[in-house]
Amino acid sequence: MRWRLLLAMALVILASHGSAQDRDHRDNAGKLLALERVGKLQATQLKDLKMLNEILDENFVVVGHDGVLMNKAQFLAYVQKATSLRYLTSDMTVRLHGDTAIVTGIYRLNGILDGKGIDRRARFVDTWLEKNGKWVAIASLSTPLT
Amino acid sequence: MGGNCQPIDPSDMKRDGSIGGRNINSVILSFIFLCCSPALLLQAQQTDAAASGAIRALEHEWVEAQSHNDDRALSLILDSEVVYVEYGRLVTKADYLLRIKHQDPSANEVVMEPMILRVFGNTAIVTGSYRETQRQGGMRKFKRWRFVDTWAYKEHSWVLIAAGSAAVHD
Repeated sequence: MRWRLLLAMALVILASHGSAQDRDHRDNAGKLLALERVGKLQATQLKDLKMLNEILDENFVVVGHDGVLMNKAQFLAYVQKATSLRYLTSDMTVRLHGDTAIVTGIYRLNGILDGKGIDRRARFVDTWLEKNGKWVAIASLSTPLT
Repeated sequence: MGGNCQPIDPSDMKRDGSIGGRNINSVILSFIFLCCSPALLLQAQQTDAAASGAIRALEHEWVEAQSHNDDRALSLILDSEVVYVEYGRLVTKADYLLRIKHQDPSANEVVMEPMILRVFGNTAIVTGSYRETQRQGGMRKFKRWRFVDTWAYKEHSWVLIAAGSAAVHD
């Protein structure tokens, strides 16, 4: 009788641990999708450099669709230079690996850069890292869709 | 570095265990902290250096395995959940391994260029470029790519969790 009770207790603990993990996973995935949509895309669109500064790690690197490598300062300067940027994302998925997350998706970007109109669709792969309870982007890659 | 560790003069110790008005426990703790912090810093630097060496070796191993149709070696390098973007398409680990297993090794040649590695604890980002030569029907096509690879330390080894590249527009 006693071992049955112990077994039942162990099962309850295991089940609650599993559901807590699932909840954490969902919470983090939700946070990351919000950061992608509101943080990164809207901040880029509205040129909210303060917000971008907060969500991009100091060592952030990005490889653009044209193969150009930029660091954080160069990326912020690029955002500042562009006008009427419009960003749309779709097909986003989040994969969590402990305190690291990979977010993939497709974006459509249009606007004006260096006086020229741009309209492109590309696939992106973003790497996020949880630092002191806050998610920050550490790397990003864009590559044209084929 | 060891200059932070000052010897304690016994005459400076009071009966209540305080030194110069400070509790001896806090002095001992400060002493241990001062002695250990350079060691901890050095250990962190050594860990980063070891991670950096291991990941650079894996990057080269990846190119080697790809050029020798070694899908088994690649299987150990790639995480089961890897996100891999190849020529703008998202491919699964299984699809990639299958392609490598059956590809003609002479059809594709990759030459790596210098890479930059950043370690963030159990995560590392590698950026770099490579030159690819594709041979098709007697024709040779050259392309230069810039890549971003993400590695994670899982169960005592580094595995690739995301990778992709964009063609460099010269």
